[in-house]
Amino acid sequence: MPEPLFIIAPPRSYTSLIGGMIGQHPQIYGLPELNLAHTETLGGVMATLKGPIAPLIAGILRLLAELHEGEQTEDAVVRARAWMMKRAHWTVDRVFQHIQEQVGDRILLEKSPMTVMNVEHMRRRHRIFPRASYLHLTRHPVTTGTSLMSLRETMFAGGAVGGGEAAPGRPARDPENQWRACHENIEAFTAELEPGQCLRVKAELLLSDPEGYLAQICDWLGIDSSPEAIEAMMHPETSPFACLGPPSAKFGNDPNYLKNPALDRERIKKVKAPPLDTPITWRSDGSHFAPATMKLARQFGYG
Amino acid sequence: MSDMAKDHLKAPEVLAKNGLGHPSSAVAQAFALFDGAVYLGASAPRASTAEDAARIFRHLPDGASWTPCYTAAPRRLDAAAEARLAARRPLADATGAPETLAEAFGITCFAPFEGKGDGLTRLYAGTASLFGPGLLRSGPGGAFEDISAPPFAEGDIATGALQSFQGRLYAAPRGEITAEIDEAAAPRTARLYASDDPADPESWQQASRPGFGTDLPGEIVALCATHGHLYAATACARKGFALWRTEGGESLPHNWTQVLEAGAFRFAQNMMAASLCAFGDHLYIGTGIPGLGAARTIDVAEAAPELLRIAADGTWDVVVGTTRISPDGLKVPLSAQGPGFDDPFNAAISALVEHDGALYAGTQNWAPYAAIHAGEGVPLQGGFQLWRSLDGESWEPVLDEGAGEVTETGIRAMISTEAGLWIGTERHTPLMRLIDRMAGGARTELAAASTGFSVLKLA
Repeated sequence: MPEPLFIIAPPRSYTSLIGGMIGQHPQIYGLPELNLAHTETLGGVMATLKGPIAPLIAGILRLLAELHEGEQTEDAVVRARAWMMKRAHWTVDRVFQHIQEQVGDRILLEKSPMTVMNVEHMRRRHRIFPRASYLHLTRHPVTTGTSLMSLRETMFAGGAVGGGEAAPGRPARDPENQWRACHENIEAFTAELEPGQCLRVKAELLLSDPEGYLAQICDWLGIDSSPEAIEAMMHPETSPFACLGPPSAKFGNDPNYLKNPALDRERIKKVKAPPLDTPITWRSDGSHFAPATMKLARQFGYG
Repeated sequence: MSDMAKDHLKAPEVLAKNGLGHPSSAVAQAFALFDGAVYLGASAPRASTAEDAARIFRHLPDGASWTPCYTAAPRRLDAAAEARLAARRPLADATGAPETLAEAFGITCFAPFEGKGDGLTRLYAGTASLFGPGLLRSGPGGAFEDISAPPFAEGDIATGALQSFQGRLYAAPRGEITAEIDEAAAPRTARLYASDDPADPESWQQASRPGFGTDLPGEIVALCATHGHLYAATACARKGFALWRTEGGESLPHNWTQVLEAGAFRFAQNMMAASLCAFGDHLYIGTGIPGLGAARTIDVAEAAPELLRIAADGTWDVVVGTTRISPDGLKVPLSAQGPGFDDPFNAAISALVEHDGALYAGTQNWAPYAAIHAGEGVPLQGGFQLWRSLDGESWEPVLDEGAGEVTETGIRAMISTEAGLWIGTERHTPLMRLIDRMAGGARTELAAASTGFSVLKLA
């Protein structure tokens, strides 16, 4: 069986669009966000994805429904949940084996942002797939933060953003801190990999010429980079997971992406790299990024 | 490095030790073969007393000793030098500045060249100085004299690189390389000067427009002539290094073309082109982070260096380093080795030289500093490494762990001679002792260690 490909990046790093594109390569099977890396078993997944983060279980439910029944109806998702409950003792390793058996010899592509919240999540998954490939996506911290705040405002319309303010002028879960913490986790993890096992890519650069850069990624993975394969990758909207799911498993990916998954070339032409050293727009205290954030951003080619 | 690889390591012959009698001479920074002798330029980068002086030594092939050719004279401190000294010693004690410093604290580079008024080929040497960079020229009997330097600006402290090309001597002044300078409202930009008669102060002209005509920050730190071009490599803590080249010609400033940008798309992690060397059909570039490599004063995280190479048509490859996509295609390290020859404690590939049909690469290694910072219980280990390749792609270790002396942290210069490969090292034992004391340690191996650079020879 082929080794899987994992996209590792903080939330709001174009992982949905780029993952959706790569997932349409004929030799790759693009998965929804499975959120399996933080625990050891399916039972652990069900026990932890509850309450405010219950929607994060939608990805595995939609996947199992699609693989078992070829459709993602509400009934199929209910049966997928029952299937999971009967196999609560299954390890994550065994779950991936089951998925691979259903998918055949295509490369599994997974991209749950939750994985990068803790370096141990990545290490746990790496113990299962020591020869997996990793695509580390970066996005400018300013636009990442702006996008995250916009999503929070959408999801928590009318309520406090990020759970209220922790300090005057600052949101409690400041996007800068999340951006830096996730990337520091990723850097710590990828430093342990073999040379060539991880490819770090500026999302903005990739989106400036998707055909050219996706062909390079295909070459890195050792898969077909013919024009036909690249053309397939230009249509993320053809994935069975590139749409909203049934009521009890609605998402499994970025809600905005699920509503409009097609590659919008006009929109990505507008992707800009703003200066690093400017006051942060989501704060009201006029502050700038911390030196540690600036340092990391420059390593990634921003500023 | 694996035990199997270590089986191939050789023991070098020691040609010089203890900074040739000057313990503060920590760096053997430049070599030249000139007039049948090997010339060595030594630096004392502490630059805090008159004893911390730039020095040049000569070694005849049939001789067994080094002859001093130049020692920078003491000079009374002026306001500008005092300000530069204070900027370099923010943690200095309250004893104040010394009355005198050496006129120059380092010899940074050599270039043989015959200027219009020279009458014969001379050896030119660039200096580093808190009074501003200078230029030396060899005279009768091997002594050196100060001559006019190319124009320099406030903040310049070194003639960073010298290179003869198409009948001119090219010189690149530079300052300290720090993120703070990159962050300044008017960041420093690349400047390059050329002269066909370096001793004539009026002869120096701009060889490039400032910043090569761009607003990109970064100063020139290395020059090399090959492929019929003059190459100039920069250092930039914010963007990563860049590489430019020109076909030269009579008119100045020349037209320059950018060959590499943004640290070859590794950005700030390829902060500086630390070494350049033509070998076979390619120009090789060793990258790195200046200083001790621990990146505590320079705002770039630890990042082991890469070895890159450029073909005459401007195409490039990663030889040792990180796999990445780029506007020029997917780059996979040809050696299958990651940054730093797979050693994260290598901070720079600081010297490259062709010798006996092979390309040699010397590193700076900060593992000993990491151990000292970590405290008394952590054993001292590390030291410079020397690697060799016959084809530029497959590399094997030649020397490791400072050739048996852990305080030998870097190879800063190498030269190929008929008698073998000569290696100039970097050794900052007093600084290591200071860091050890600050970390609460009292390591006996540091107390017993030699101080000052060494020169080693591999036959």
